[in-house]
Amino acid sequence: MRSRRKPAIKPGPELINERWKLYLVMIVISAVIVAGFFLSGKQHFSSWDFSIRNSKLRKQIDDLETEKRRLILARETANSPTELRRAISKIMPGATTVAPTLASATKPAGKQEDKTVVAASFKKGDTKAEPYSIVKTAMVLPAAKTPKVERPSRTVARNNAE
Amino acid sequence: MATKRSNRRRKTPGSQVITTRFLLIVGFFAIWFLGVTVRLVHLQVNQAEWLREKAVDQRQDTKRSKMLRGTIYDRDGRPLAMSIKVKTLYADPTEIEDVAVAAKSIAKATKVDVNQLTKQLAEAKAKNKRFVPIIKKVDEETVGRLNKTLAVDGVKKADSPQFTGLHWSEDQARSYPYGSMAAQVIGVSNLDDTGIVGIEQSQDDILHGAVISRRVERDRLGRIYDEVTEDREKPGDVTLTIGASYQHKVEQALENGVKASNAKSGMAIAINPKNGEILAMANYPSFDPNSMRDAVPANITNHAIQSVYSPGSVMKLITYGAAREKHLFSLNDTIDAGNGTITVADHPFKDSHHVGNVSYPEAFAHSSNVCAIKTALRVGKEDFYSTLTQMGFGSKTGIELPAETVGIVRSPEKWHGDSLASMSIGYEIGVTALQMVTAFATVANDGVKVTPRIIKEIKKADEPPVRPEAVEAKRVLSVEAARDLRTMLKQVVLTGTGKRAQLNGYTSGGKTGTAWKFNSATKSVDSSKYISSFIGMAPAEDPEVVIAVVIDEPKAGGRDGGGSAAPVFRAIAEQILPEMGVAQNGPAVKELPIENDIPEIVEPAKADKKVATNSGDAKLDPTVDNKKKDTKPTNAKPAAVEPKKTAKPQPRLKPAGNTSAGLRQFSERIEYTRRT
Repeated sequence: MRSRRKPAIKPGPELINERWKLYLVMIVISAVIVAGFFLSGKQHFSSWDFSIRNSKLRKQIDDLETEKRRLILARETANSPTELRRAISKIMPGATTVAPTLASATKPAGKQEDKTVVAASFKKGDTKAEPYSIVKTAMVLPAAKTPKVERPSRTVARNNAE
Repeated sequence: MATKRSNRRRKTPGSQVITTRFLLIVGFFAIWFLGVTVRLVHLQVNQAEWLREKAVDQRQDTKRSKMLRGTIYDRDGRPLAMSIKVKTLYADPTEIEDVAVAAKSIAKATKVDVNQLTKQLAEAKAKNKRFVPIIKKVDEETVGRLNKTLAVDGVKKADSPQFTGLHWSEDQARSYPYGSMAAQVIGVSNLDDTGIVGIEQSQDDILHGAVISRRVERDRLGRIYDEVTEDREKPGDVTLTIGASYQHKVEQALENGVKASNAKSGMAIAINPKNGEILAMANYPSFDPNSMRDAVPANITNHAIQSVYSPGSVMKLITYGAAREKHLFSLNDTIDAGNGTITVADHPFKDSHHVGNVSYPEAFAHSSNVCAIKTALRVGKEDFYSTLTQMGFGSKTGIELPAETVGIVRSPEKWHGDSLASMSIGYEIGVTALQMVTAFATVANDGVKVTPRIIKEIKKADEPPVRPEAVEAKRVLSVEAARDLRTMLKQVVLTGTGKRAQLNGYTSGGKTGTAWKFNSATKSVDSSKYISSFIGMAPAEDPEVVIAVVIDEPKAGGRDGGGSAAPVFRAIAEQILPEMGVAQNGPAVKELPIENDIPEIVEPAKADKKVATNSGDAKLDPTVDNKKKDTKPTNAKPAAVEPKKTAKPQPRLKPAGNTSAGLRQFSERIEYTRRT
């Protein structure tokens, strides 16, 4: 009785090579895919991390801006005639109150140097007695910014890089 | 064969078992998969909305806040009004389980009344309200301290404080670092960040900060990983022409002047006649915008632009200006004051002291009413009215401040027979201090009309500063006329009623004015109440600054313009001019002794009360007025006899008859009150 089954054909060396090539391609593709997933995951979490840092920095800027305004305000309040008068009466309780005068920030030509300017230009190395106490703080004058040509009246800004 | 069959029988049960097992596993997975599917459908279809909301609620946080209101700077860049970020601690009672316990802890940390807080929280929880403010507008330092105090162990929240149901909301607080300085000009904004007075009101559109929403997304640790901020146009900053330094000096001098005269109030304006920039605008008494609860409502009014008064003799500058423009006189011409009395339409006007036949500058310097009236009669109604309107009387000056009044200037057809005479010496007309100083500034500016402005520039975010549009220059007086008027003004200070306005190191010119006030209660002018003023400029030849000082109801010392207002002018000018960098051009002048004054108001001696003579500004014999009172309305006429005892009021100058109706109404409007 003849067997219906076909005789098992032993694969030749060429076929074995083809299979290995196939496996190799599959491995490479898998590696690429896995690497892709890995990189995208890394990017995702890196971006997440940057967003968190970005938010923290933005908050710091806000806080610094708030602090800057607060310091400017505190300085101006301290420089106001009312406060100066109060300070004089504290330092010299019995003395006649001399009305404090403000020094103009604009320095007219041919005039004595403004007291404010003297205080600001005082250097550490100077040996002369410091006429005024210097409080290091933020600048006062609003800085002029470069003009923009076009500015949308209302936009929505998304801060996340994703 | 038998062996084969037995083999088949042995194999059959095995394959069946495998099949059965396989089917069982498949069935199990099928059921499992079905279960998962059913659950997924349930979650994603039936509960999708609820879950989405919950997820969003967990990670997203949307907060609405206002952009910081714009800053108001002075001309040197000093902030006069500034907003800073503050925070408000609020409770969300819906998140709090035991309101009583929470209230106790919160009250202990924040030092608020525990009973009141408990009641507030309980009521809000019952009404499902989610915002109960506990402490409003605190700074970062206090926020940090409260966060530490309120922190509860075991409570994990994305935001601080670590206390269930408590949150911080962003807010802003408006601060005025110079307190009451220029308070009426800068104004004030209310809690809703809306300007209600002054520049805060007039420039509210620029200063107002828009409401923006900020949506943040947090991870499980509460860290913000995504942020979407609504970007709106940022509010702009306004820079004023006022200098804090000038303003302080003007206010200080005004305060000293008002106190020295024991006056009710005062106002002063300093303007640069070259460009119309207001350097200082002061009112005394003032108020502190930082504590509006203590502010007296009357002091909030900017009287310099909102109050109308009879200017008195300072108006003579306009009278002589109109005449000089028509070439009716030159400086060398003389004018005869006669016996010091002139009657116009049955109304006698008198000089305070006899001047005789004098030159025009001398007549002006001694503030002769007769000479001024004679000059005005030569000018004529129409031309005088035309000069008034061209100088800006009866219309708004256009300054960028709210509630400016136009004053009171009637058209010639509504004038009475003596109206021209009265108006030529500063009665029957209502002006503001700003209108008056603007008219003087026009003379100082060689006759080209000055439009006062108080905004130097407006700066919007990311845009270059914008200056207000310049008004087209309009000449209202010839250069020669303006120069002659300045010479006359200088004469007033050198030899006339304004000697106290002589400056140390600078030449100056100006005119004094003293007018009786209208008493609304008695419906007549009150001889015991004056408005004394001095408007001057320096240096006299080429003025760099024009200063108006108006003192309301001076009661002590020299009560006329030369005695009460001129020294204030001097104090202001001597401080401002060096700061402006103006080179000295005059001799050193010491303080003038009082006996050297030429007073505008001469108090009658007791024996002379019946025939009292009066001032250069106001000059009606009360006896005459009483005789006339039944036939002629005289309440708006100049009359300035100062009684020795002010407790006894002078005879009232009541208007009577049909013709008085219009004038009475007019006089009532002259009242020195707030006008909007």
